[in-house]
Amino acid sequence: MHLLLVEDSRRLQDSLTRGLRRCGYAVDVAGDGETGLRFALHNTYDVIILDLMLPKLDGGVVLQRLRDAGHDTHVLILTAKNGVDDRVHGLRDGADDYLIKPFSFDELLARIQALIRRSYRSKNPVISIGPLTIDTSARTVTRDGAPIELSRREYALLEYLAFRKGQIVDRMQIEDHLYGERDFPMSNAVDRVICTLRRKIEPNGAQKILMTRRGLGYVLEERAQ
Amino acid sequence: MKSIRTRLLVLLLAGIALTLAGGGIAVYWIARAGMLEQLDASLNARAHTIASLVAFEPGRPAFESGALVFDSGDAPADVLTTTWFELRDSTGAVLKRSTNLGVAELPRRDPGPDDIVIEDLVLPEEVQGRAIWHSFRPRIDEDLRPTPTGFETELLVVVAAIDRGPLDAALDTLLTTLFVVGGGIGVVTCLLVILGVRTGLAPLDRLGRQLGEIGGRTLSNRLDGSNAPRELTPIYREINEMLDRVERTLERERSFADATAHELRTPLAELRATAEVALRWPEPGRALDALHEILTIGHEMERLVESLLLISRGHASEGDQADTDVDLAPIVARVMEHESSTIEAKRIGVIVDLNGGASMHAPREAIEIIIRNLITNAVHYTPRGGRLAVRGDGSNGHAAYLDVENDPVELREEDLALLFRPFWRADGSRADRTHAGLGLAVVKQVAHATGLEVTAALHGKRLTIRLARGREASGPNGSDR
Repeated sequence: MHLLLVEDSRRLQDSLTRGLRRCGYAVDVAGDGETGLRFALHNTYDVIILDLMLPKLDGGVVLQRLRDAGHDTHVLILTAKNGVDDRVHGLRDGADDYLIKPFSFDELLARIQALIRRSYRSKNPVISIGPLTIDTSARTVTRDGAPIELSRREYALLEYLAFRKGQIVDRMQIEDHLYGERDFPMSNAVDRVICTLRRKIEPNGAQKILMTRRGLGYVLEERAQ
Repeated sequence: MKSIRTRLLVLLLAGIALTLAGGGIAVYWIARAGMLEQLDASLNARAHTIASLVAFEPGRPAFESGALVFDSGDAPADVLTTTWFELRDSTGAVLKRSTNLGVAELPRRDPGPDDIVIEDLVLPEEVQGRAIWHSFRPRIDEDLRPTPTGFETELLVVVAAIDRGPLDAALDTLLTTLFVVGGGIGVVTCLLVILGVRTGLAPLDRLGRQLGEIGGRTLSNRLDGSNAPRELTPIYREINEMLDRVERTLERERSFADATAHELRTPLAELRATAEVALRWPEPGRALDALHEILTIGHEMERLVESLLLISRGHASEGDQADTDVDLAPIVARVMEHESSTIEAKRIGVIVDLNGGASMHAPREAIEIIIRNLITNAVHYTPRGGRLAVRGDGSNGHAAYLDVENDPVELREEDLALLFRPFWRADGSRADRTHAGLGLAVVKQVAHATGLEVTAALHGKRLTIRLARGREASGPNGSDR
């Protein structure tokens, strides 16, 4: 999943980016409102985490311009402004959630997960595809009840495909959701992740779940035997 | 404590009761005295009338002894029929008495010659009466005139009494009338007083109710004195002005508290996020970095709290510190030395011109805090290659000023009004964690607490902040803030 963090505090940028990347998210960071708006308008994000008091362009203006441009990316406002008016104003301006500083990292994570589920219209954090069960909340994967160990990137890819199960996802979309603005993946990086993921979730002789559609992309689906 | 209404009612009602009672008693006693006087005059007239009937007339044995004659033929009939009377000689012997006395005798009194005594007494048949004793010498019959030299008639005493029942009845009627009329007047007056007090104090009740409706959430409400009596208009005005001041103060305090809380939220969020991430995903070397980061945030928060305490102390210590002549040059030099590494790193051009050693008459500690914050702030916000000037004139200690100028600055004229506000920053963000945005707020507060003034002026890209004694602080460009 691809996140954008628009936050002027360098320390929060560092801590949150590190934590979110550890959780398997691709994170782009903008330190001011102008950069944040530019990133948001030109890239595809699952969730934008937006501070309000930003240099150059206020977070509220960023949000308004984003909505005016027709972008419906979920926005979580992360701010020190804790007044009821601020919250109401932020939510009315088009924010999807509002979290006040200081906050718990777990709570931030849970809210991001909830927004991602909402993006894919999935209320249940547990997604089942045939024998495969993905708990997006606990970030665990099991096949027929047996846990599967995945790297961060493998899990991110699986979660992305799982949220879009039955839909073909092309390589470009996968790159957009797996890698950040400053990541420069090799041309075969996606193939390699697909390959390693497939080995782990489809052990020898097991039912195929991750399908390749030649020339189109990949799809996670349960095929009748 | 009793209410004003109760006090007024008690006083007024007591006053009215006393006035009515006193008035009634006075009226009664005046009327009684008048009526008694009339009665006594009537008695006196009767006594004189009776006395005038007695004559010294030898040869007419009307009386049992001597030559005294009692000629009742000239007397008005009602005098003799409605008067109980006796005539006594100097020995007390009764010479003549009215028939209505029967066998009863009137008490004996011996007034001096031509004198009278008046007393109440009980007449026959238990009639309450009033009597007069009058001492006189009977007239001498005309036939004996001229009287021989040295001849003098015997001194007699006439006692005349009349029924005082009509007088007592009249007094009783007067008393009853006074009670009834006075009581009625009292009741009506009391009702009017109660109504008057209630009506008169109603504006105070209204004022109290309006004040009662003003609380923490309705502090913006004001008293409506449009229908208030003229006497209360100044009170309404004063209270409304006081509410304005209270609201402004509270708003300022609330804004300051909000801003403080807001300022503390971001470093707290940084602390928490740094610690949580470091604990959840420990990496070799990262833990140490995280600890350093936490320590730095702690220092920043400490500075923030110290600045807040300075502002708070400034509030509390107004007028506490003693003024002294403070030499500004050593303080400026010390602060410049402290900031020298930053000045060098940013290649800031510095000019210090204190006109041969300026001094200022003010508390030393306050001057040090102000100069330190002014220069540190200027150094911090002067960009690389900018200029910083500290100028002062202390030729007259009481008219001394100190200007701290720096340029270029990215400020607008309207920003000057916000410059000394706590936590205000020109770019509106909190990206720069090395400065809490409290330096100039501290300057303003400490200066205000010690009778100094700080003003700011903008000349193009050059910001000048002037520190001076109150009356000299018209500002480098007159923009007193």
